Amino acid sequence: MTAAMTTSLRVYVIDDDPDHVLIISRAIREVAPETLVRSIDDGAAAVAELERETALPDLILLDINMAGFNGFDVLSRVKSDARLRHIPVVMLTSSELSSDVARAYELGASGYISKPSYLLDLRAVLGNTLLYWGVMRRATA
Amino acid sequence: MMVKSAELPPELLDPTYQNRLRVIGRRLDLGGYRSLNLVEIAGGFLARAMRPGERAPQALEFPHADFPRLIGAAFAERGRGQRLGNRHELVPTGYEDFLRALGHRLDEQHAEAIAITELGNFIAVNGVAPVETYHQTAMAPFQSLLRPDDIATLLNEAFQRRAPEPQSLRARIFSRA
Repeated sequence: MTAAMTTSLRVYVIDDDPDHVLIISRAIREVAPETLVRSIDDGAAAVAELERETALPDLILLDINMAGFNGFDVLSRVKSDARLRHIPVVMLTSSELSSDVARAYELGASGYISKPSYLLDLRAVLGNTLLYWGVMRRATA
Repeated sequence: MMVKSAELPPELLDPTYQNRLRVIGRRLDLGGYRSLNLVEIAGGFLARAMRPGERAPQALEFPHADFPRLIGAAFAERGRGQRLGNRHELVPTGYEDFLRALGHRLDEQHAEAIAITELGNFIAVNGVAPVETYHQTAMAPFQSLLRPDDIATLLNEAFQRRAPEPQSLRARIFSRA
C-alpha cells in the first residue's frame, strides 16, 4: 500500500491561490505521478469549462475559500448538474474548520483535504477515487 | 494471545465490511483515536485520526492481507470483559461497535469504495452502491450523513440483532461473529 499509484486520473484543481496550486500539484505528482492535473484559478470559469467539457475530470479538488464565486458556489453547481454530479468533489481547506467542511458535505462533497496533511489525505483521496471509478465503470461496462 | 486463522469461525474471515471495519474500530479504540477519516483504496483501508494530546493526525494503514491477523487477535480477546472506553458523543460505545454496525449496513447495501469521515456533529459515509432504476440495476454514488440520532438507531438495531436468545452454546459462539 506504499507504492505510488500508477493508474492515471484526470484531476481539476480549482483554487485561486497559485502557491497552493503549486503545492498540491507537486503533492499529486509525488503520490500518483501519472495523474493529469488541470488548474483553474476562478470558480465561475471552472463551472463554465466543466459545463462545456466533453472529457470530464475524474476528480475535482476545490478550494473552499476562493474570492467571488467560492467553493460552495462551484460545488452547488456541479452537484445540481446531472452530467457533472457523479464527479467526486473533494474540498481543499487550510484549517479544520468543521463548520465549513460540514456545509460542504451537506452540499454533496465527497471528502476534504486539509493543508496540514496534504500528502496523507491525497493518497487516500486519489486511491478512493480510483476505486470509485473502477466500480462505476465496471457496472456500466 | 493469537488465534490461528484455521481456528476462527470461517464467517469471521469473510471480507465483509462488518468484519473488517469492526477490527479497524477496535484498533482505533485501543489507541484512543478520535476525528476519524477512513477511506477504502484498492489495497485496503487508509485512516487518519487524532490521538488525545497530539496536534497532528496520525496515519494508519490496514492492508487486506492484515485482516486475518487482526481478526484473530480480536477474537482471542473476546469475552474477557475488556471495554476500551473510547467513547464520545458521535460514537457513544466506541468505534468498534459503530463501525461493526455500519459495516453490516454497508454489506446489506452491497456498497463499495467507501469513505467514512467524522465531522463536528455528524459522520459522513460515502461510497457506491446498486440502485434500482426503472429498467435495471445501476451503480450510483451514495452519501449518508449520520447524526447522533441516526447513529443511536444504527447501534440499537445492531444490539437487538445480536441480543442473546435461548440457544445452544455453539449458536451463542457463532452469533458473536
